[in-house]
Amino acid sequence: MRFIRRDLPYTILVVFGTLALLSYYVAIPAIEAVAGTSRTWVVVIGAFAVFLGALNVIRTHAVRAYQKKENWWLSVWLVFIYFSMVIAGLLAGTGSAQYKWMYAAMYTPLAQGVVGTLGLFLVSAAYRAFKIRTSESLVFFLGFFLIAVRQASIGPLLWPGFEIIGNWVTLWPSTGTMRAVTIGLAIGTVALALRTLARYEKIGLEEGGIVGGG
Amino acid sequence: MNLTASKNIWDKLGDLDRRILFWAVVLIIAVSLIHPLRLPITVSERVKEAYNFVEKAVKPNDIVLIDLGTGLGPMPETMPGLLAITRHLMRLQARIVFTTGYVSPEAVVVIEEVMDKTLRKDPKFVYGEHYVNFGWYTGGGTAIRRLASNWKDVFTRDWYGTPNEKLPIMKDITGADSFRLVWHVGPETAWVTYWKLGKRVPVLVTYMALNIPTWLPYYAAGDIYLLGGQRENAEYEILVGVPGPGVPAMDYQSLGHLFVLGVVVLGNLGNIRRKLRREQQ
Repeated sequence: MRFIRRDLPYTILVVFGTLALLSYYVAIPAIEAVAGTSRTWVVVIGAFAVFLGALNVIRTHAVRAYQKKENWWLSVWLVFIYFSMVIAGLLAGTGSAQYKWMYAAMYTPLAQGVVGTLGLFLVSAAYRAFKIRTSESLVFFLGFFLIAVRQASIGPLLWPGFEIIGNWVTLWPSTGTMRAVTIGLAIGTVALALRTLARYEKIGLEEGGIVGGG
Repeated sequence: MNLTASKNIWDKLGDLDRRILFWAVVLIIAVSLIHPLRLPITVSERVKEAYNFVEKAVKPNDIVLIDLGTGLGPMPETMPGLLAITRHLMRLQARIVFTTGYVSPEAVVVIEEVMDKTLRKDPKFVYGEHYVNFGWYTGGGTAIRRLASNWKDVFTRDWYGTPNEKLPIMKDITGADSFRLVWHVGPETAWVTYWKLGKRVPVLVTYMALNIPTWLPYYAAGDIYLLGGQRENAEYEILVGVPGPGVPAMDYQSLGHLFVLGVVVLGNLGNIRRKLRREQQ
């Protein structure tokens, strides 16, 4: 059982992870061919994972509704909407007017409403966060001020310098910081991949226990 | 002494109720939607760069890939650019391929909307020959890499189920080498890794202003052309010369930004006054 649940998945991970890694650095056609095929499998497995995810959503909410847990009617509503979309897509086709109407009239306003509401909270957050109490918060406020004016088309019209200074902030301090974050993330990802291949990382195959050579 | 009772206007500005801010923003948006102010817009260098590149690089019959890496939420910001870009490519008589790698297939609905508003309105553009919608793929960066090396490893038919062999445009598509450029709307940097750096296909990116810092290192390194946020999407619309939703939206964005800056500045003045008064007491 331990072999099926733990050792086999790790072996697959190590073999294909190593092949994928090698295909970047070694120009051997056989390795590239195997790594290429495994990448196609990832696409197929990804599609299966989405299907499994959908089944899991249905199962979770069906159980919630059956057990009448708190706000169970929301789970019923979710399952109802889910099947409505699936049936409309299967019967009328995803390019049909009916299916598009369901998205345009039901889903789109909700999705964009959520993002729009975020805008309102950002206004409130900006009002509270940009109170200048220290020299650091002054720098923080100035950065916000210059980018906010630059991003509004009216800014450069009020004073062309807003465009120049806003661009400078974007291209130098902001880019420099993001470059450091990006490089740091890349190095961290490589380290994590190597640790995972060496079985020093926990990847969720085990129940509660810490895996790896330690 | 009761401080609450003696609150003056400066105290109140330093401690505004969030509901007042919310309603003020709603009012600003509503007024500028009902009465568009048509505030002038200048076109920034970054947008001119992207536009001029497309203008020079894309020739009739070239194939351009438009990939959506985002769903419906950010569309008020990115849709104007998406429509303007499609119209620009249509004017250049390019052939267009749509895909999406977004986690939910809702982006396919966005593609449908773009095609409805642009390509399907022009009888010169025939589906399967001049444009095609391949819809949704899973696998993220891995799938993007497979698309670059062999398109058919990921897509064997279009979104509506038509096999590749029956799509005339597919005679000219094998992988990244078949494309003149990629226009990606979203945060997926694998396009730079596998298509720009791996296959030398130019990559142009559009995304929300909020997420633009993620793309800045790539832009500064010359790896991508970049349209950031609503403003630059509206500017692209101006360069293409076809009215769309971007330019009118700049009214409320400009006013909204000015309002936020205004309340932040007034809030700070209120705080400073309050601090000085406390020190005097």
